[in-house]
Amino acid sequence: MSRPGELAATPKRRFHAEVVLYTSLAGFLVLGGVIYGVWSKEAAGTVLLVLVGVFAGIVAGYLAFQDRLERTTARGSTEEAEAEDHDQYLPHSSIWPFEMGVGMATSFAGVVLGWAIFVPGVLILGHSIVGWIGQSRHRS
Amino acid sequence: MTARRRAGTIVAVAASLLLLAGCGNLGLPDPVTSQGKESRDLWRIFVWTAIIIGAIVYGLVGFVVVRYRRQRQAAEPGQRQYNVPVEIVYTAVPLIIVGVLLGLSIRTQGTVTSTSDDPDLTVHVTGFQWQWQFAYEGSDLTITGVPGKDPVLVLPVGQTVRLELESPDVVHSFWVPDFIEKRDLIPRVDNAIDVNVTEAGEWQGFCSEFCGLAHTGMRFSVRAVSTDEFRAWLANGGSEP
Amino acid sequence: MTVLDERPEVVPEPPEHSERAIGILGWITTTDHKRIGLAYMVTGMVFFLIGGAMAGMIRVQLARPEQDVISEDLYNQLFTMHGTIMLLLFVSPFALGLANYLVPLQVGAKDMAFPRLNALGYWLTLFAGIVMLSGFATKDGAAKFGWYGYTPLSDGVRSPNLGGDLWIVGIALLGIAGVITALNVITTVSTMRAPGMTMFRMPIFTWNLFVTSLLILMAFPVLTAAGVMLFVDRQFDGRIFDAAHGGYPLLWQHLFWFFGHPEVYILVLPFFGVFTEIFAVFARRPVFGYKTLVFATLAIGFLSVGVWAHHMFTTGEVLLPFFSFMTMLIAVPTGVKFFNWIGTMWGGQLSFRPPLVWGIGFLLTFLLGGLTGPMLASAPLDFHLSDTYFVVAHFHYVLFGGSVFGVFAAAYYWFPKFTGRMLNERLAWIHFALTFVGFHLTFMVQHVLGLEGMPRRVQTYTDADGWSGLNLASSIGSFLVGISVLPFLWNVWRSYRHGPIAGRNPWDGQTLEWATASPPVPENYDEPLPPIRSERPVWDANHPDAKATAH
Repeated sequence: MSRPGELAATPKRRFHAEVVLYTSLAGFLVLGGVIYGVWSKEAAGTVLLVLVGVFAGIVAGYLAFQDRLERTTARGSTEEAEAEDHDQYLPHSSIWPFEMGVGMATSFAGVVLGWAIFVPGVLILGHSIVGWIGQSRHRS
Repeated sequence: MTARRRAGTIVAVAASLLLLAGCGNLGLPDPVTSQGKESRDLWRIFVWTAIIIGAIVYGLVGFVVVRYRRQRQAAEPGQRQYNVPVEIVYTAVPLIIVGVLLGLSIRTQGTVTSTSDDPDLTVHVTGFQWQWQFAYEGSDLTITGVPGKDPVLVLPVGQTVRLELESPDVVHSFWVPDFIEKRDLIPRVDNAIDVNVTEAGEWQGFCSEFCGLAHTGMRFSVRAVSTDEFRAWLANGGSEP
Repeated sequence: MTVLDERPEVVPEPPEHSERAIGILGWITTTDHKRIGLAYMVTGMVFFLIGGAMAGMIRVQLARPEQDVISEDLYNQLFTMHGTIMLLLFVSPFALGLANYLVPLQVGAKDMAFPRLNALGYWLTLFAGIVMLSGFATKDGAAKFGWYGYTPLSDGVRSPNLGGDLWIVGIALLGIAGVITALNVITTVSTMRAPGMTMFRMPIFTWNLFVTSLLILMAFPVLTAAGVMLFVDRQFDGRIFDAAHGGYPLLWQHLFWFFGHPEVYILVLPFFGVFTEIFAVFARRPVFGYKTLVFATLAIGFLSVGVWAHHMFTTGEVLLPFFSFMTMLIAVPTGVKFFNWIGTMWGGQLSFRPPLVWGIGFLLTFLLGGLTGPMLASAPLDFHLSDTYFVVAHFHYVLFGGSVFGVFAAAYYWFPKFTGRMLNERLAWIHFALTFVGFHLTFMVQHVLGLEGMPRRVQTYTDADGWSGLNLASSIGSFLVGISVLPFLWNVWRSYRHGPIAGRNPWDGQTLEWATASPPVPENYDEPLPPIRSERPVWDANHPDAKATAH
């Protein structure tokens, strides 16, 4: 019996399934976009399909590149997983998302409703950005 | 039979006959154009396909729900988690069905959207917030709706009528349910459809693209008359001689 | 003997409601994916009630011919906001709330990858709803150009009211919020799965949310961009969609529906995931055809990006065969899923508890919407059916039968996990019966209304149209749907405090969220995870003699 939490076999590349997925998606969209463009000669749909396909391709490329980096772990065991999780920053609580939400909503609405709403909104938003980054830097 | 029961029977029979008449078109209005008849025939195929597939799937669900109810003292049920041949079949069969329906649709679409090189009559239909206007090419007759009086589009039976659809403001849509056809009126887009009306009659028309405050009231009607009557009507400046 | 039959020997302690910060401040500063998930779900339900009230008003106005209880202007605001609220402020937030709560738990993670960003997404959603609804308080009312806002009607000349601009602000905020959650789901799924959980051992619910998130990333930015373009036209005389000055009104429709069609799959795929889990658990069987389900979901996701112009067949300006082909094709993977669900229950031991009852209701209802879909995909048929009540019927059958039934199924299924208590089953049956009967009465007749000639978005009709009887029936049905939520709300309210204790795994669930306390501790797991060798690690641990087989 293997120990709890262990894979039967460690995968050679960590993001292999995702790379296949994003590459297929990119291929499907670009090919579909080209076929659509040639057949319909309609500009908006062609641009959208091809552009989204290119973005999917960028993600596929990035993950394939990540797979090659030696420091990528495979989360093959609980120890490796916990070591990686330790590097992550998962703060318990933070006021900054709330304030940033208020700032964004107020400043966006202020574009419509006028300076009296827009200016405070931008100030709140700016303050929340500073606070958010500050919290990350001090990992509080 | 009492008088009341007789009346009730008559109503019931009439209702069933009406339903059956509707049944001929399976819910669709009776088409009055040749294009509409093509679409109606396609509709019938789709509806019957849906009924058959629906019956099969409902049957399967009903069967499962009854047959596999939890028994009191049962062991764990079989834990089969895939069956490749079955899965292939229920992927391939829907693909084939869909392929057939698609082929039929494309064929009907070709017929219904085709426009002749030389229509017998052309009417410029303009939709604007919130009325319709019909301008008959080759004459200076223009019919415009006003609040409280919907305009009537008079057409000859048995002729190819080109309807050119334009809008100066927002998107509207020209819909005559009995034609089984609608087309949008879009600023900067020249849309045109051909209709061949096959019988005389009068039918309602609607704007069927939300176009603002008084979209609800933007209606018109279509009246089809014989070619002779139409010529007389047109020659008389758009009224009965 | 199953867990469902056993009585616990010792009455467990009522669940602890432990939190880090307490009270309102605790909720405002939370970054815990479980709390954020609950906030999304509760907020979504509130918007459901608001959107439902609007629907009730619409149906009151349409109950009899030539009524004027609701003016044309108000009516146009109501149907615009009803659509916007139901799709963007109810179903989507609720689904993303479920995702937030469950995806980390199902993959064995402590939280989402970006906890603060996650919280931001929630606040943006709430504030977007407030901004959009504030349109009703303005002089000329809320947005009233239909939830898909076609230009030129929605431009600054034809719809100059402030409510329209506030609507666009809401759209922008919601677009950002959606992308935030999608990023979180994708990153969490790709980088934080517990050891042993390969992609093909993830629960189907998580897979579906993963694909949903891909769709969000593809679709929402397009909507936001289109919203910005419309805003520029309205506020700064942009002339992008303005035909009189060389703009192209139809461009809006391409952009909007490029978002709009993936959007409806964004709304329904999460609930396909919910039902997949429910069918397996309540039949006491593994998911049938797991890989097929994954590939079908991916196929739906991929294809849904290429069907947008089937909403534009009547414009005369789109490539009909291409879109007919893609749209009909997408019916196939959905049909495959149906057979997989039936296959999951086949040979099982079905327990008709509330989640499964909603599941059966879903199969019976969604199927009808799935059968009318291909009709609309056929261009010549769509020429008659488009923009009529037939379409209204179709999309309510798939949206309500799929997503709304899914919302309730998820609520009954996971309420014990979220709160540690069970919901009352008799109230659940009353809720289901009222909803099911009310829904079908409301919308079945609308197929006929559309076929007979009733266009969408009309404030009234005449007696001579012959639509009066069916409209009255539909309105009566809508009243039933309205009251059907009452037993549910009462049930939730009462059971939260006084419901029977649920325990860790009251349904004998199969996936990792059932491996921990109800409600889970703040860091999710209070014990080491069971070994992950398949897509149902908790079942494997509890039923070592009932492993999945090939036949």
